Amino acid sequence: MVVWLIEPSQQKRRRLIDRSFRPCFYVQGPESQLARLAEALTARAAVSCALTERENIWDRHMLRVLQVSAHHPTLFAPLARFARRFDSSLALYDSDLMLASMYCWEKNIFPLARVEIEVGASGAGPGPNAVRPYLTPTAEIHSITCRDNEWLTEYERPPVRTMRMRLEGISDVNPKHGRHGAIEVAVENDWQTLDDSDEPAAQVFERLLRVHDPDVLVTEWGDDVLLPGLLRQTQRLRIRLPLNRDALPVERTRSRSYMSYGRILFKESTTTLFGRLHIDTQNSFGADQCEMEGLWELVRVTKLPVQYACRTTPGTGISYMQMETAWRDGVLIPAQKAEPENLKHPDELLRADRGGLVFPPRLGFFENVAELDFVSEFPSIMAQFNISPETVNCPCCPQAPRVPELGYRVCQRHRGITSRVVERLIAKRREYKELRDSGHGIRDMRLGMQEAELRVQASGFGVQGVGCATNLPLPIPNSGFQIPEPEPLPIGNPAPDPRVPCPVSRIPSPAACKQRRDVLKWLLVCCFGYTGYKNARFGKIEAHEAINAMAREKLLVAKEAAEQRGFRVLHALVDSIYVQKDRGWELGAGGWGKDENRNSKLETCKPDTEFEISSFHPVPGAQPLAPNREAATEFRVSSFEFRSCAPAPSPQHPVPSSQHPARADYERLAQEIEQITGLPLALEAVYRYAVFLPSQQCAEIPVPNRFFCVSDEGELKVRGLECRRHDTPPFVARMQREVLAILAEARDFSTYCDKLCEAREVYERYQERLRDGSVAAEELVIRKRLTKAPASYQKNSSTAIAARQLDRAGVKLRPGENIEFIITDADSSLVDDRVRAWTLWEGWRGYDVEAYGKALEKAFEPAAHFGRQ
Amino acid sequence: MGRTVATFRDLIEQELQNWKQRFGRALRQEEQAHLEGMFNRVRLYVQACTYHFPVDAMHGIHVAVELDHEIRLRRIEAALGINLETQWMDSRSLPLSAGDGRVAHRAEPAKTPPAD
Repeated sequence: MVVWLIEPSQQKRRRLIDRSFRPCFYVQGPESQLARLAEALTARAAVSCALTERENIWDRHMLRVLQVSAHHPTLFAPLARFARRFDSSLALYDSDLMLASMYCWEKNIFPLARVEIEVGASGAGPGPNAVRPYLTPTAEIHSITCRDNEWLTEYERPPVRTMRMRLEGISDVNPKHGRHGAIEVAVENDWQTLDDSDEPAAQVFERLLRVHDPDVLVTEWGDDVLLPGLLRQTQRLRIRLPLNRDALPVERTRSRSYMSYGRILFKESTTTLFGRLHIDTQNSFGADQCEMEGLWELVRVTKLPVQYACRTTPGTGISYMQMETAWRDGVLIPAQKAEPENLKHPDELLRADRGGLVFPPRLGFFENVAELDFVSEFPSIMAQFNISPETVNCPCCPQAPRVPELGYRVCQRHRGITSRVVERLIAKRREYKELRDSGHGIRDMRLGMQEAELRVQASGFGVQGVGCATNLPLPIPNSGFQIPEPEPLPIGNPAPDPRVPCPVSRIPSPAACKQRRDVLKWLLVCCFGYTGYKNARFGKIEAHEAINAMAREKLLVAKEAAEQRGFRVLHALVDSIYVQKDRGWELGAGGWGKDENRNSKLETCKPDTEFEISSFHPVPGAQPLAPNREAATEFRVSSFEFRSCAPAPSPQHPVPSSQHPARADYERLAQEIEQITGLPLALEAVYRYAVFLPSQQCAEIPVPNRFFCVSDEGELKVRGLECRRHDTPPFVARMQREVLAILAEARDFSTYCDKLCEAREVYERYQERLRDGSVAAEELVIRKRLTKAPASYQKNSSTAIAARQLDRAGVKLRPGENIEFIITDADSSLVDDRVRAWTLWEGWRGYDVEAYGKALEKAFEPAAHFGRQ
Repeated sequence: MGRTVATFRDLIEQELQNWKQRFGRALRQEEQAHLEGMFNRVRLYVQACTYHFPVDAMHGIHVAVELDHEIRLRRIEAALGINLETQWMDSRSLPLSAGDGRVAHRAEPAKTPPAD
């Protein structure tokens, strides 16, 4: 296993080899057959075979299996393939895991961690591939010890040298669609344009690469366009481009289209490097959604190699976290999912195959609305109620508590693998929130400058090549910085963690906290989704159904509790509930459930779209929920001492007097619902007003995700409007954002109507700009995803026309790719004149003023829908 | 979750298309729009239909339509300031006593004057 390191004291990059790593897989079958296989394997390669016992996850029985240890990691995959071909009836376990991750598990390290290493004498000397200074002499790792903890929230980012590279022009447009421009390269934010006028770009880039020798190469379209293009140019020029730090060729994979959740998606080809990290922000989920802080966090917790982690979905990350837990438990990891769905009666299937509950919102303009959110609801359900694929309907607990509606049992004897994984992620996410709220980020900024240098001197980080990354031991200067205590392990997680926590810490800034929280959120979201994914190794649809059933139950309990306490439920969306407390109600003690002026809000609502009626109002002084009702919906696994995910119900933050007067009531409601449901519930925001909009097709039908709200602090929350959609031209999106920003200054319905006049002026100004032709063409680009190959489109939709134009121009388009175009004349009788692909558009073609004017009008309509001018 | 079993929103749409084909075809044009409107209003209660999830979707749709009528009726009452429940007996088309031993039937349509 090749390990790349950064030795910060001397700013050296080192390539080390660990020959002690012997990955193994397991084979199960008749013992006679296993003996034959062992004989065949040992005769062909350097392997060790031994019979051993490992646990089967589904029935928890110990299975007698053949352990096959490859003496060299490169033999691992061929040996597994041989075993599969040897006898297809044999079951293989742990046979298709990623070697880099297995190495991390075995050595108890993770990519980008600080480690202490004992290095042996340079036995082999410079290898045949040694062409750069950091390759000589090739040293061997004798022992490697982690001096870091992936569960720390305060850690130091590796002191990497970063080089950025992009193509000039609109960054989102694929250069393969005909976009031209010079390459721009930056080191330390100093951008330099490489055009071929003086010297070939590849030659300049090669020099920059040699001089700066970056650890990380962050590119836009580098995977499919820039790096392959530069490599081709260097081949023509007969110069060597040292993208890799060793002499191995650059690794490339093919592009592909695939289906996911009913949508066709496109995955670009990839270009990954050895000894250096290449991150293409246009081909990276993590870097795109959560930026670099998020990516580092993802890599630390999932232990996936950086270049792989940034090009894969969080689902793979969460799968590897589950597999690590299973691996540490001595559980066999099936090579392919082997657990089919249980047989069900059609009635059961109808009951079980449902998602979360969505209440259509009340339409209208509502003041003083609160949003209560179950914090990470689905993962919390998994953690709190021990719902994991192997714990649902387990054979060991026939008398276990039942999941509401479905009657599934949940294991009471064993803690689920998924539950253990998610509870750590939930805890870490909560810590980041606390860090951000406690204002430590400010302290970080203050100390950052003073200590940055010391820390760079002190820390050692690995840059991952083939496998993973590690660090070298270095003396730690006494910086006077507070050393954080390691996070105590959650109850029920047996994974030992003897590692010393990082002695030098770094408190993340609020922005970093947010990015890290975001990536953890994605992991948690995917963790729930993966329980129902047909190919997930630890997936089981019954677990997915159980989580959904619990979520439905908890949402209904929350709704009932809110209504019983005199709140009006305006909207509920799977894990969040929008409630309103009328002005007429008394605040504070004794005021709960009093209904004095119930219809006061109806005056501010459009009467023809407001369906509230008096007979549905909560009855004043109504009895609380029957105890047995709440008891029935409470679902507890009594024999476990699970750590509760819910924070203490006591109020943590006193309400400042400047806050909304009803906030205290909303907070009390949140605490009470939290107590009843047993799930953490947060008062997400109190909104000055919320506007729930109808469907665009039918003005009286509400849709769940088309609304905007303005919080007490003046922050906007927008869902489903044009400015949130990817296919809205930037010009239209900007107009809508400006309009909403003006409306966000309103405090109530009357000021909203006043502000609407101001907003209309903005709208008119945009229309005027459109008419006088002063809008830049880039602002009008519409972006759509291809759902099929260009030739397969039957109708002349805008996307089809633009796709055909690109196809004729020689651009090879695949389903799932995005294309950009401009509407030139939407009503033209000549189909080809209606739109023009962006990269083929020329100035004389202009744009369709009427079509874009309609788009502006449509984008302004939500603001004006309930307004009065 | 919408892949194996259709969501109730999809079922409403499917039922609407089924009923539009024959039932809707035989309606007058001015009535056809109301058929679609009636099905659309079921979406207001789709969460209840989803939670109950009857084997036959039309059962849920019927209850939702009737509930919607009930709600709108109460709303009309509120708007008009009347309570039909107190006039329950009056609103029935049953025979009532005329007070003189006869049974007063519903008001008979005015007789057209005999043609001369």
